[in-house]
Amino acid sequence: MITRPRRTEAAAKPSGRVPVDLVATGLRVAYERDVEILRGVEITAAARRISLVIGPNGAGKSTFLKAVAGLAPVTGGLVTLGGVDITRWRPRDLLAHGVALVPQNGTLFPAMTVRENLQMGGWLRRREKAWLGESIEAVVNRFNLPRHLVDRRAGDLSGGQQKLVEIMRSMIMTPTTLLLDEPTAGLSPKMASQVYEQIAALPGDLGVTVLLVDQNVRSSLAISDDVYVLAMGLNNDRGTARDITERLGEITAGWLRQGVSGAVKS
Amino acid sequence: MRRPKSSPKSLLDMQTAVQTLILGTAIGGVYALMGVGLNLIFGVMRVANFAHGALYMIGGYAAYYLTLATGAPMPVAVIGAMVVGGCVGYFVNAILLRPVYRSRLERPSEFTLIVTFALSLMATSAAAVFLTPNYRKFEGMWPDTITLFGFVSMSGDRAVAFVTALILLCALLWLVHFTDLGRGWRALTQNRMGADIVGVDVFRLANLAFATSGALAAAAGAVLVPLYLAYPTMGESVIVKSFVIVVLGGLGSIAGSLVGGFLLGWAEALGSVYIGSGYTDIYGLVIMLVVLLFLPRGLFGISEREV
Ligand SMILES: Nc1ncnc2c1ncn2[C@@H]1O[C@H](COP(=O)(O)OP(=O)(O)OP(=O)(O)O)[C@@H](O)[C@H]1O
Ligand SMILES: [Mg+2]
Repeated sequence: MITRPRRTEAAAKPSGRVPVDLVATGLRVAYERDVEILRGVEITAAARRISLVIGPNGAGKSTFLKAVAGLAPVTGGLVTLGGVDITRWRPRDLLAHGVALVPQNGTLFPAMTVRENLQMGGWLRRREKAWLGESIEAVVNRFNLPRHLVDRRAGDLSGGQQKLVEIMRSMIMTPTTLLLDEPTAGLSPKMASQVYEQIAALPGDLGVTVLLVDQNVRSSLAISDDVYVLAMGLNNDRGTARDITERLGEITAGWLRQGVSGAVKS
Repeated sequence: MRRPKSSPKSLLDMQTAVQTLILGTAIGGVYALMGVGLNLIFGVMRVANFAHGALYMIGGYAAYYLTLATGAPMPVAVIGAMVVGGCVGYFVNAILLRPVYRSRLERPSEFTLIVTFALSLMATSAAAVFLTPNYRKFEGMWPDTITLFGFVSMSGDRAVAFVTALILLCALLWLVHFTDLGRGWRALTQNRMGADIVGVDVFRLANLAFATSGALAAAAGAVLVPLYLAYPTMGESVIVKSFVIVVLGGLGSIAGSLVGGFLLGWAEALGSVYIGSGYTDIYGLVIMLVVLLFLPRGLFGISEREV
């Protein structure tokens, strides 16, 4: 039985966090009428595990994350969080239930400083000033962000630095389910491996369920538990990280044959 | 041009110039108030509100009828007009523009353009039908002519309008830069998706932006009634001026609109004294075109990514 709970901001607090599965069944998305980008995608992000979604450019990976996060028009199917129907919820309500997204493209506030951007991550808990200050301090330390960058305008940072701040901001949002869209795109190898380390630690340290979309297949497979392969808006393959790693050559060869797939007229 | 400095002729020229600039500054403050409100909505929601002039008109009439019915003094009438303008702005957004916030709407900016334009026409006709096209006026706070520095003379009501505009502009700047509401507005202006994902309540903040903008426009209308009277089409030239200011200063930039308002005031004042008073409405447009030619994003326009 699927129920719709009251949407409260209180749920964003880490107290009483119960790790739950995020399940998408038969998810369909169309930005324009008759052009379906997702055509019935089935993906489960199991509680306290890292689930990886890979696939060729234009497969619909970002669209999938956006649809789950309430930012893309869902035309069919269901998304549930611990059995609760969260399909088409607004990002704000999802965040209040612990679901946070770091999109693929830049979402920082360029005219605000890095600190102000991180503070925006605590928007739902903005009255808890002391907590917010401590969380920002902790995140800056954990990600080794150079001190002098904290009071710089976010728009003046390099692309890689901006991406890092975005990931840091999502930590301030204290999610229980974190959706990450290519978190290491544009990062230097050193920074990237540091970010992967942080992501890998999320389920164990903070009980976070991670749903990761990544082009950096080898590195992301190394930290993932379950893997889904999308192509042309459909599930193409799935397996454990070990299983997919073994068959990776065969899978990516398939992508080349298909070429870059896009929308398919229904 | 090369006359000796102390000659009475050049002194007179100087005095005219100063008087013109002061008058331009006085009206520029009220223009800035209009421009800032329009730009707030543009920044927060990425839509142009064509009913901005109608809110100015509603403010003028609200102040007029409040004074007529209760004999309330000017400050009370202005506050009353702001409450009316704020409520109208709030409900226009909350009820009529609601579909914009549903992700399924394909062309949100065209939708708002049509809705707000239709509203503006309706408000103007409704005013003509129900309130008659007659010109209305109430006594301002300070109807006497005042003299500054011994040679600048202007009506006291103009000074009152300017000071009121200045107070409200300061209040808005405080709201935008020192409150959580303002922080949310700035976030929405700078990155809509960013604001969405950190949990900013877009719908509520847009309602409040519309309410604030409506209140400011109504205040502008109210303080100018003693000078320019209230009548159904009073908002028409004002909406054009507001758009000129927004484009001049840069879309989404509050500081830009502030500067833009004063620039427009000066351009109109200088133009009507030194070129001809018949084309007041043209000067602003000319300045806007010239600025756009060299700075396509306006004076304070930031790049598309940063808005
Ligand atoms: N806002 C949008 N409006 C219309 N079509 C869109 C929109 N966003 C994405 N698409 C289309 O949806 C398809 C899938 O895009 P999506 O961004 O989900 O792919 P992806 O798998 O994330 O690719 P990449 O690996 O390049 O990031 C593409 O064909 C794209 O053109
Ligand atoms: Mg993508």
